[in-house]
Amino acid sequence: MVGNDIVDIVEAKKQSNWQRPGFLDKIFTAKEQQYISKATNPFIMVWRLWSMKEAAYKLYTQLYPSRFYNPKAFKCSVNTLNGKVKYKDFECYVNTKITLLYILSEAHLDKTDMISEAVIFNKNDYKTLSKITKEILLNKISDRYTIPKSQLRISKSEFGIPSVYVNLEELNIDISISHHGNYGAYAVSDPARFQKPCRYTIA
Amino acid sequence: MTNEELIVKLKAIVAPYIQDEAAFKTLNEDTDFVKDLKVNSANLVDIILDIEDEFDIRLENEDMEQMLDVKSAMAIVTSKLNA
Amino acid sequence: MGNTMKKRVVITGLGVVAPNGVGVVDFTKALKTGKSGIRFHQELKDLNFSCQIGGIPPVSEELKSKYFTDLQLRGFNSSGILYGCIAGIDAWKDAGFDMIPDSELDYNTGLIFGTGTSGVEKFREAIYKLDDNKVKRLGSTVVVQTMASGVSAYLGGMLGLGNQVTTNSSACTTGTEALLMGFDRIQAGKAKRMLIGSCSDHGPYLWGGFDAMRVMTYKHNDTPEDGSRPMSKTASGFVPGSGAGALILESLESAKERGATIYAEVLGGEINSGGQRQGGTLTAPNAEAVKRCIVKAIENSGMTPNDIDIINGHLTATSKDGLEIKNWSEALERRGGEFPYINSTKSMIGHCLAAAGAIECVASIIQLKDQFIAPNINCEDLNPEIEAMIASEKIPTKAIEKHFDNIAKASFGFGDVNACVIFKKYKD
Repeated sequence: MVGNDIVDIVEAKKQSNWQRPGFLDKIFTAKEQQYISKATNPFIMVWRLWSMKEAAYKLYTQLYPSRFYNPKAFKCSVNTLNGKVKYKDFECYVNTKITLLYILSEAHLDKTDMISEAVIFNKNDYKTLSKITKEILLNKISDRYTIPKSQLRISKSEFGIPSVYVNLEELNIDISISHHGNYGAYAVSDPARFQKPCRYTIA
Repeated sequence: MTNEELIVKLKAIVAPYIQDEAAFKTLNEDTDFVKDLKVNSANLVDIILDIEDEFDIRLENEDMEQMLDVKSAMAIVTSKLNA
Repeated sequence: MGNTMKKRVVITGLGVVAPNGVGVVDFTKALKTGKSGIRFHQELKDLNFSCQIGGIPPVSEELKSKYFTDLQLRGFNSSGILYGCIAGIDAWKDAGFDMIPDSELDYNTGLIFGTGTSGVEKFREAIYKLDDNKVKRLGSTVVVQTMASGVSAYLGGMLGLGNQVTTNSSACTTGTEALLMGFDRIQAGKAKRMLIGSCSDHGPYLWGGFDAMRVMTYKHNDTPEDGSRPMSKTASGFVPGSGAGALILESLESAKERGATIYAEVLGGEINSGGQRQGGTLTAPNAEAVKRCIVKAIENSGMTPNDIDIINGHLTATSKDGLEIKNWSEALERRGGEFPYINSTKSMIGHCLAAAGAIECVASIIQLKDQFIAPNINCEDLNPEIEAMIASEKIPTKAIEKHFDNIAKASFGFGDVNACVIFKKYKD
């Protein structure tokens, strides 16, 4: 099971003003605000923490299908490029990759390596990004499981959680998709193939 | 304030953050900020801050938690204004 | 170890104006996606060039006006200075400094910004006017636009730099040499920071001489993006490019004190000349000197040849690519699958001449910082001579993500001059 989130650094600069009064308080705990004020580059820390929260939220809602907006309640602790996020009793591990172009975070229930792959676009258009990232993901799944791509489809639940279907049947793999600005990211996690025991059952 | 007036105000507030023009044009009570308007989730905070400024109210985390569509935003604003 | 007394030098800012991307973000994207900046240019065709393709950075009028005042742009016709100033100012800002017209003079920061020749088109304009007996009509900026140190003069004033402000020139080695000269100055404690870089004009008046030498390819006028083919079997000469690269070098002390973001550490390097002996000529390298330059650069960095993970080569796509690989292989004493990964940024941007060294140093730092190896586009048909020396997988044709620590960058130039520098991923 995996949740990921990508932030386009240039786009984040344009879209949001993290120095706006009230902004940090609404999203970040006191501890997180300390990380930000102490960081060499506070801007990067803001979006690193944000992407961690988003990735953790995506993982959480796969375990407990639901939909809500409470980023502050996802509490981060970080060191170098790893970190943990807690939400109530839920806890997960998050790896973050900070590049010159984007920040990519990925949440897992166990400590594990990052599996997300990034997609670089030359245009910034929500619909194109979403469509092409999904296409690339389906190509990958089609190759990996030798299923004709024409039979594959991604569908989102009422809570916005994506699943892969072969014709009408849901494929037993977990995916996560994210896109922002000029970049997309997708992750495919396959419990059977990687022999990772699934410790939680989906309610 | 009537519901119609409230929607007009909310529409003006979300306008800078939307990424789907078509859904924005037909904005109504059932419009979802993220699913329909494709508002970036970080910008939801800006919308919340803008609503606080516009109506001179304070939204707590619990209020934010369900503020994912126009309907819930209207309900929260109305309850705060009447409080 | 004598090195213990010397100051450590790090890179805290980058700026780049390249044919396939202006600014670090666009250039990084281009490096990751293997985007070519080579285009067909009608002007070259009209002037009967054999090679009608080249690399010119996409700089809009709007962008220009963000860096220059209207007054500065009046009668301005020096593309090299334009590129150099954009790259230099970007690097300065990237390092966390402002550009303020009345800022306090900064005696701790110097500038070494190289070029081959400056304002060729402006010079041409002036010559036409002169020959028409209109010397009085030249205007007041011909000198500053055409003097070799024009770019340093412009930049030094825009940023208010008070340490050494100069221009170096060593053909295609220029940018890498500038970096090592700046490095020396900081290491010796003579400056806290050095803005270093190099730039080159675009256009027929600069490129014509190379066309006449038949060292540029004439086989890809219809397929410009395929034109620059370093290490390929079908490489048939280089594609001319232009632009600028700039880097802020800073003592580690100063960078830490400011809380600056550190891209990488400059471990050291070597500059030498083959003296046009032992096979070296005005235009061909003395292989012994090239190898010595590489070996010394590694020695001066306190490294061993096996520490080199990646090489960003000079590799221009002429018949000399094989010789360059041979030199690397012999200098490092590594061959086949033991050879490091190697790439040529020129496959995407062409040979940016005097700007090449600085743009490619920036490319090297970007790869080190983001931990990937940029592709050698157009090298699907690897030269068999090269394949006999090193394993083909060491010459990736698609970008690959890779954790690595050290990258070597070398530049070689006309006049039989060489420069090699070693960059390391920064660790406390």
